[in-house]
Amino acid sequence: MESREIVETIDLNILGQVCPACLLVVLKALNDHEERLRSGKTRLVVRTDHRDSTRTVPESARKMGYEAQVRKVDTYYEISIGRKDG
Amino acid sequence: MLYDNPWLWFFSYLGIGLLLGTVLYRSDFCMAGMLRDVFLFRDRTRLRHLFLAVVLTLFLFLLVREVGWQTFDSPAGFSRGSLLGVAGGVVFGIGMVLAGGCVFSTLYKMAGGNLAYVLVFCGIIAGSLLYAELFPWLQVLEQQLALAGPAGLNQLWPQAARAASWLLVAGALILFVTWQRQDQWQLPSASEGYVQPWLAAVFLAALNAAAYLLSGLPLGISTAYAKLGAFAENLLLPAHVAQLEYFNRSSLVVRAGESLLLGGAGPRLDMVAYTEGALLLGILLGAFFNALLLREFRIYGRPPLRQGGAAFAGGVMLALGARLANGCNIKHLLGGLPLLSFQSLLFFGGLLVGAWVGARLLPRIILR
Repeated sequence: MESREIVETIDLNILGQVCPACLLVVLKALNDHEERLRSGKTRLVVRTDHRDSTRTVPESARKMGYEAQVRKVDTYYEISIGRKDG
Repeated sequence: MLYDNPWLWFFSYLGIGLLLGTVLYRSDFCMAGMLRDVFLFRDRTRLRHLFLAVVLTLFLFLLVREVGWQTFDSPAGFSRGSLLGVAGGVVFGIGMVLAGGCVFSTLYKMAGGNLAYVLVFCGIIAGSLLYAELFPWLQVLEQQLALAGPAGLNQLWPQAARAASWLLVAGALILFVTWQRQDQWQLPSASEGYVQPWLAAVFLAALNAAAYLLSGLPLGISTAYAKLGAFAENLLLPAHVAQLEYFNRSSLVVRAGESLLLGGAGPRLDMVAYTEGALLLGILLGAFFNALLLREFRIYGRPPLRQGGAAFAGGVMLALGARLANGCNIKHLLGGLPLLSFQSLLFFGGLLVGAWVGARLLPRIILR
């Protein structure tokens, strides 16, 4: 029987927000959902139009032991943060 | 005389602005963020890029004066220090943290379509108009708090200041090479078309030196906001604007050959419009074109209420701080510090205190 882990996402839309509220809001979300994110079953998906957030958010997340990926979607950036495997 | 032609000034500064808008947008070279992050996140990563911009400007200004294209004797645009400048720095520092940007970064962030920075922009203009109302009273206060003596170290001890400047450049060079060996200049960023902040610092210093070579004045921009406000208020209350002392005085003097070209915050086309106004327009357009080119321009709607309120209040404080200190962070950090002006040293001291206070306030406002 095939077993597949279902990963749910928490969407965090910070488009159009002021710097550095973006990083503050993401750090708060990481703390608020720490248990779920560390379990590996949930990922935090951040949508931002703030260019420097593509540097600061992944860097902060990695320092906290998470894995982070960035991709450009349409006119904004999407940062996906979750448990670091291995 | 070529320099008497205002359009020459306008297009020169517009060109500088277009280049700056491009580089600032792509690198997200936010000086407010560089200082704020030290206190808010204990992150000094981008501080070295600001240091590079200041030291490189110092080096280029020194070179321009050693060659004889500008003189050492007067730091044009910088008066003797006043303790009111420290207060200006504190107010400006709190304002830039609340606003999430300074007088430069507000422009390139607004040009990308972010409405929060439109609020900062409006706040800066509102703060400038408020200052115009308070001007007579604040002028008296500034004179009472003025420090005796010359405007800067170059006037107080010319030879020693010159030697100290070269020593500082040499010392910084050693530091820069060390950082290069430790691979600390490059920042990882996933944003498209990213320009490394060290390269932006080089551009800023070079364009600032170009402006200094052209006019004898380092780059400045905050009076252009006051002028925009004056034009707007003049449409509604012309009689009131006409009797405001701040809008009737000249704050900018450029020597062009034998003649002096003047400019002020008042609602008229003068040297402030042709230099600072053109720079403001250039940064806006440069950043806007780049946001379009990178397919990033989009208006995402209004920011959360608390952020919007903080942004507008921050803008008002940016304007008040800049006016109290006779200049903004661009003029003082990238102009006055390299020219060793006391006024700029006082502003910088106040700015650090303000950034620290702002970093304490901001999380309470945003995360409540």
